Amino acid sequence: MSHDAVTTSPGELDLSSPGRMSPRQRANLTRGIQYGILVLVVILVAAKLDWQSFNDNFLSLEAVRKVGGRVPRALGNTLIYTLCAFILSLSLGLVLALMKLSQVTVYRWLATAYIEFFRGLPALMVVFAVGYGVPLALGVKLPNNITLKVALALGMVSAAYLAESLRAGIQAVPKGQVEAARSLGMSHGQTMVSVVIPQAIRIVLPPVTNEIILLTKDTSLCYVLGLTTAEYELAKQAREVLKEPNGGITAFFLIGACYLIITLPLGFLVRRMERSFGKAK
Amino acid sequence: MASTITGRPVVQITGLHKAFGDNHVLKGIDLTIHEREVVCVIGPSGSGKSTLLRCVNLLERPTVGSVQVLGVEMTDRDVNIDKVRTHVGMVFQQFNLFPHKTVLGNLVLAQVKVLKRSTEEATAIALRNLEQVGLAERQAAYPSQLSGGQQQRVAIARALSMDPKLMLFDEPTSALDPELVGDVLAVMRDLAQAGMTMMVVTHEMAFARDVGDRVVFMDDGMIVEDGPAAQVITNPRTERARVFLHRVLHPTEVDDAELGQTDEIRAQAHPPAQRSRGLLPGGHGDAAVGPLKHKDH
Repeated sequence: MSHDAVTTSPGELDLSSPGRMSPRQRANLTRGIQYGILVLVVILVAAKLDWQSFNDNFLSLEAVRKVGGRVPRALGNTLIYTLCAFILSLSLGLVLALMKLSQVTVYRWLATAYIEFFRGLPALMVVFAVGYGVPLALGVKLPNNITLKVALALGMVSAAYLAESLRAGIQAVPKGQVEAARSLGMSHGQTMVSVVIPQAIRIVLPPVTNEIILLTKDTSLCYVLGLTTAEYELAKQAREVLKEPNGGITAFFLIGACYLIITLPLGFLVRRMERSFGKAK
Repeated sequence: MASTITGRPVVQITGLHKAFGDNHVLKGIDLTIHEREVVCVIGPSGSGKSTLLRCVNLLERPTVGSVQVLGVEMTDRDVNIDKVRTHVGMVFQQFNLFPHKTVLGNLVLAQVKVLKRSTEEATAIALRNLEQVGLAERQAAYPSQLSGGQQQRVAIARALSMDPKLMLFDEPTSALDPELVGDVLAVMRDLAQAGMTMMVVTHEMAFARDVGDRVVFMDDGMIVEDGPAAQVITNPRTERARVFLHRVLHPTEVDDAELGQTDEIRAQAHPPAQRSRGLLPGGHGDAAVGPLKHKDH
């Protein structure tokens, strides 16, 4: 090789910049200003708020006592509607995802048409359609079971979203996994069931959790089907107590908080599952 | 190892072409591999070595030509490909262990699903094979908890658990840290000595020379040389093989004046219009001939 010797000269860097703060000092100053603004806002709100009226409206123990007994049944109904809709959504979503990945062109078309159709419609319209439109138009009479109708309507909508997430998850499993399984003599189906889908589930856990949370909140749409008191879910129950003279906003928020009773543990559970998958990744 | 092989043919490839769209990767391959023979396939990147290997168990479908494995015509569209594949083990460059299964789970899965063995029988066979690659004590670990060398040995044990009659290796040590290569090669050498029929795509010239019965040198989708291992590695007949091997075996000896020489040789052999794929100049620095150390486990 005929390169010249690389010359390096040892020396010291000159970092001094007179009259300027160091990067750390500047960061501390901006953080101090942000905390100052936050404290100011809290003080202003506390001073301007009418605490008497806030207490009466938002922290009324009597209202809690009055509606408290009705909350568990509503919470239970919300849970059942969500669960049933999710089971349908997951099964149908998986079938649609596999159809979208199929070699058969007709399957791909059908799945795409389904997904585009149900993603484009407001969920409320689908609930109406399942409750009234389709039974009238086709002359079929669905059993008068509110859980079935809700699960059908919301499950069909949710399946469209879930199918896309599942498809992405299946495609995210490395091609080498399929090749390894096939080279061991496993059929396409065996490869899907034993190798691809278990790995895809780990990948799609976050978007599927999102879908469950959306479903939980969408069960509030079932009011359009006309519910008996025993069938009230949380949102309908909240609307009812708002109408009552003594219910008021306290009960309304109490019921609202019940949604968090569902979604917060769900998030916690999923984070734990993700951690336990950690080493098996 | 004996260089005169007269066993039954296990793989018979005739007139094999493979194209991906306009990209003509294999241009007429004829190759026969006999029982108990170890055939190493060497050659520059993009020469079609891996594609050739993948055509043997039909991970790639040949465009033209015939591939017979264990007497079965693989290109026949009505062949029960899954059935044939249970007799052909494959080891990949990237290991491709199933990350959601333990080491034992990786070895048991296909035995139970495909060969319909009972879980007890499959577990016993799996443990025997893990023992053979020196990893019986890691049976409960997940792949991500193993080093690359360990993962590759598990992958070999997984393939062996199906009792294959032929093993295909696709650059099995190319993704490994240099100090882990020896363990994997030792397992492969043991396998060769036990009489397994093997087709190995590799850049490990020492392995090809010491363990291989035959070495096949490929360039630009064709077999350029095919002969006894020692002869092809140490005394190649063609200029292309000579330049390639010199580059691989002496990567630090390339002179400034020589830069791009391999490209020129290629260009003369194949005018640019025919060349379908950009080829890297030079060989691979990760390979060097040296004594293949015996390792006991």
